[in-house]
Amino acid sequence: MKRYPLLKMSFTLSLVLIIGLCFIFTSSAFAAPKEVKVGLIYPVSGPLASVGKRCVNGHEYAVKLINEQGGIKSMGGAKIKLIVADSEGKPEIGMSETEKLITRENVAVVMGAWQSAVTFPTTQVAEKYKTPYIVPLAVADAITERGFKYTFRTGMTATINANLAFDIIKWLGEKTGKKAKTVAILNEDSLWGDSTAKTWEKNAGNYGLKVVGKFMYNKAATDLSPTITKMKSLKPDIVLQCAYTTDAILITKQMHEMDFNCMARIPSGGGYADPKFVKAAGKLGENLIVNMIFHPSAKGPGTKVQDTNADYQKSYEGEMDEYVTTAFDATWVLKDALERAASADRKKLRDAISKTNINTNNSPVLEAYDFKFNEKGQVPNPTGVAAQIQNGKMLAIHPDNVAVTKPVYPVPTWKDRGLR
Amino acid sequence: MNWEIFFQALTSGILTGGLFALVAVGLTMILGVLKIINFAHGEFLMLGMYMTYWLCTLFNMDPYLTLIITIPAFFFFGVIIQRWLINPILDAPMEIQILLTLGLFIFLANLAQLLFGPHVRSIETAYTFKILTIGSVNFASTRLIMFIFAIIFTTALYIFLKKTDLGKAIRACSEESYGAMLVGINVKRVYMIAFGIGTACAAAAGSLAMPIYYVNPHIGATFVMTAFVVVVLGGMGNFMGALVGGFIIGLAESFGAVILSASLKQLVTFTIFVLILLLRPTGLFGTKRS
Repeated sequence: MKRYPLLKMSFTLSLVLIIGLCFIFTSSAFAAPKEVKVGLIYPVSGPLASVGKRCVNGHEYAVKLINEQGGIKSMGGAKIKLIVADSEGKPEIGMSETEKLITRENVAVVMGAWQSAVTFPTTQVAEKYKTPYIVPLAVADAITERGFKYTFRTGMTATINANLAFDIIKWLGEKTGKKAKTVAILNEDSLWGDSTAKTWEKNAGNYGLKVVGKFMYNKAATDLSPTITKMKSLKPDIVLQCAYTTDAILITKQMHEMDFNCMARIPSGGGYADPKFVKAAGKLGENLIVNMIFHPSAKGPGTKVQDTNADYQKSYEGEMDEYVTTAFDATWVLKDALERAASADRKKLRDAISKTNINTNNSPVLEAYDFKFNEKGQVPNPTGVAAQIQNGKMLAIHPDNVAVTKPVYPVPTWKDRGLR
Repeated sequence: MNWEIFFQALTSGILTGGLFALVAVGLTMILGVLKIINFAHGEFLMLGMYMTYWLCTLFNMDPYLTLIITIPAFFFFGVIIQRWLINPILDAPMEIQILLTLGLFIFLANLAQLLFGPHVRSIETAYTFKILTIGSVNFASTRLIMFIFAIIFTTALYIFLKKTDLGKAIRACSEESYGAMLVGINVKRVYMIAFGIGTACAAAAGSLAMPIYYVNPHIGATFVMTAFVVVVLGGMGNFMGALVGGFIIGLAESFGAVILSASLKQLVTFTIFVLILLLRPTGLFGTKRS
């Protein structure tokens, strides 16, 4: 070392400098205003990261607005601080990360986790530590069916979501005077498609609809023409669907190929809600009606949705979709509860959340329903948005208070559209 | 099942079978000549699809015209891979070879994800809206064109293997590589050509499939799983076996979807796979190997 005295000295100096800087930063932290720590648990790495990231964006964007507008006023302008934990999309990792958020980071509340399979066990961890857990989007019914005191869901359940499809069919019939009588169900065969299809099969009768056929396929299918031909012979008025993006494209192309026509296809979100689908399906996707949790074309009170969406796109890539908006809205529900609790104490915060009563018309939330919780911690009547592809654009058509255009129904046949 | 559904399933099965056959022919070629299981075969197909996609989108080329670019491009790509990646490990134990092609598969899939993103892409051409109807049977013109090209390619390849000197040399290497070397065949060169042809088959299948399907970085596995079954069914390394096997699997999937459920058609395919392995491990057309 004797050969490099200068090197040694500069090394020591920089070490001193770094330590010094650390002191400056930590001491400045003491002077900062009070903050409320909020834990997020999402898959931010791995194959599901793109969706997980969008959920986090929704929370982040809401927190940015809240902090800019002066934080939590009843707590002396306390700022919300988000701590993001990575579930990697795996239940067991989600559980240990949630435990860490609660015990080590000492967060006041946890939000997450998009996947039902991760949300289910992580809410259990939060319940054990008596920490409030807000679920913006994870649809498995059972999440709010366990009598938990600290779990609140601001979004859909799978059953409500499935039944919305029937509401849309009924509404289309009343609007145009052309009532559908029969439905066929075409779904991919994972847990999501299968459980939704079963709910449809069970509840169709309540809406005066007859299920004439139920078809399952694997989403890696390369040819579905035999299935579609079989379905064609049953002549259903409506086809209800659960599909991911790739199979959505294949089905759309092959329905054209097989000349399969019906009054309307009404898929439940999933691949059909993917903006990439609209682009890939092109002309063949025209007039498709998609049952979604949210769509940015939906008209809020005034131009709230459009303004927020435009502002959001200044900082983030892509439009606000259902992943972003549900996370965004849940964060505003939390902000409202913090104001009323005037404390980050978990018990007080839990009580404040349970007494939530937000009217969508005078709050920044974007979903078109009011936020309050029943004794299970579930928003009782969340509504979705039905959107139809018209001239290559997804436009909200249902419910009436968010609609921006009239539905094209029954959907014209391939021949009438000049595509055959 | 009425006649309408029967004939539709028959047509769909045969048309899809043509594609399976073309993918499997490439796979079986590499397996037969080089004795290597090429797990990256599906990724060559995926890259072929991307090439057609970009040529169509950027230069407005006809999707079938892109074949004159994809086939030579991927032939050389295959030659390069054989020369620099496969050749050094040809004498290595089988698990090393498997790890290499498996690694190549993961590398190419992730490279595509990095370059093109995870999104689904699809092309719309004038052919997309041309549907042919015979009686009650419907099929897209793009499917028929894919089928015809697949048959032309496999037939051309068959004649090439049977009639030309190079083709005979490839077959010689496939049957007995040491013997081939003894009679003065440049085995290394034959290996490169065989791998190039196999790769070009996969890419051609990708180009032909592009107007019908969609492409994303993971599409390769969807086709190549079926292709492996076809290869085993026809007898590993057997050219005619791959062709006939392609149609058998195409029809089995098609009728499986009608009789059982589309969800269970993979069950039909893999039941055949297991039965063949149990009852006739050499495949339908295979002969015993020493």
